[in-house]
Amino acid sequence: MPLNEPQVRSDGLQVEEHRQFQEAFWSAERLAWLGFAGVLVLVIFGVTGSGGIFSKQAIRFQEGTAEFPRFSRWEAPEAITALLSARGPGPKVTISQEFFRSFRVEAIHPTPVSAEAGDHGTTYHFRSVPGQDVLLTLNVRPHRPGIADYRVGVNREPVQTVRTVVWP
Amino acid sequence: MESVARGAAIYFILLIVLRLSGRRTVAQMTTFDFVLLLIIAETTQQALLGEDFSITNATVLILTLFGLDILLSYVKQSMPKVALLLDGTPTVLIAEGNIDTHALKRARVDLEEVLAAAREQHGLARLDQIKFAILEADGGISIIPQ
Repeated sequence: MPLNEPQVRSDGLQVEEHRQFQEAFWSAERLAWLGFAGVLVLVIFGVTGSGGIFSKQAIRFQEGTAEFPRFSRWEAPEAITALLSARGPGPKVTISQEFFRSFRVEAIHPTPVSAEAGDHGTTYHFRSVPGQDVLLTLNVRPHRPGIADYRVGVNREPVQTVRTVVWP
Repeated sequence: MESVARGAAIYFILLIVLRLSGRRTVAQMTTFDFVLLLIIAETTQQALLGEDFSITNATVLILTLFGLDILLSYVKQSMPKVALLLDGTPTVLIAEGNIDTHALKRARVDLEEVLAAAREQHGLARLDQIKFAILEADGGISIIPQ
């Protein structure tokens, strides 16, 4: 490895200053600070998950609504809520298998009466009181970063596709 | 494998953010900077370890971080432009007694800091006793008296 001796400047100082590079770097620094601010604005809007107006997405069904995370964080707890109207027998929610490849279900409230695996995924059956809406909460935790596309269905309604971005 | 990826990701994120936040944050540490450093250490700890608090995981992470550091030192040695990008370059703030206000402003250095360095290093009392003041790549200020 040859040693490069810095040149002696006209004023007698022996230092390799690279002023042109430093000027460009100072400009890059300031651009990066704007970038930092931009990221923080995105965080406030919920693009990185964990709160903020864009962090959740509402999925509307004829018999209720469900709120799924649009952006989530790897290994960070997340809650999925659904409000299902009380019509007919106890409501059921079907979630496709793709969901379980990215999320681990830690708790479901109220506890489903049964859960069965089928062609369209796992179906949870809940008990309901006639005339009273059912508020469901699924406590989940993403166990794989990336984009998770999965399908959700309520009762006999057609399933809807949901996408969640799980940040590493 | 996940530990190595976590360690490498945090290493490079910290490297980029610290480098782009300006070198003054590294060398000229105030009390607040010290508090900031402690908070950063605490924040990154969880992301580094995840839920695995085993000695094996800690060992893998330590080896990953030291390995990356050694690797980068070799890269910097063989590629001076990478070294320049990662480590920075000295900036002459005062040359032959002439103050480079543009450089001081861009580097976010006050004359007070230059005077403090002059007092500490050479016991100088005034600005006109300074021949050269150089903001070193590590963020320290070197003073050469008249």
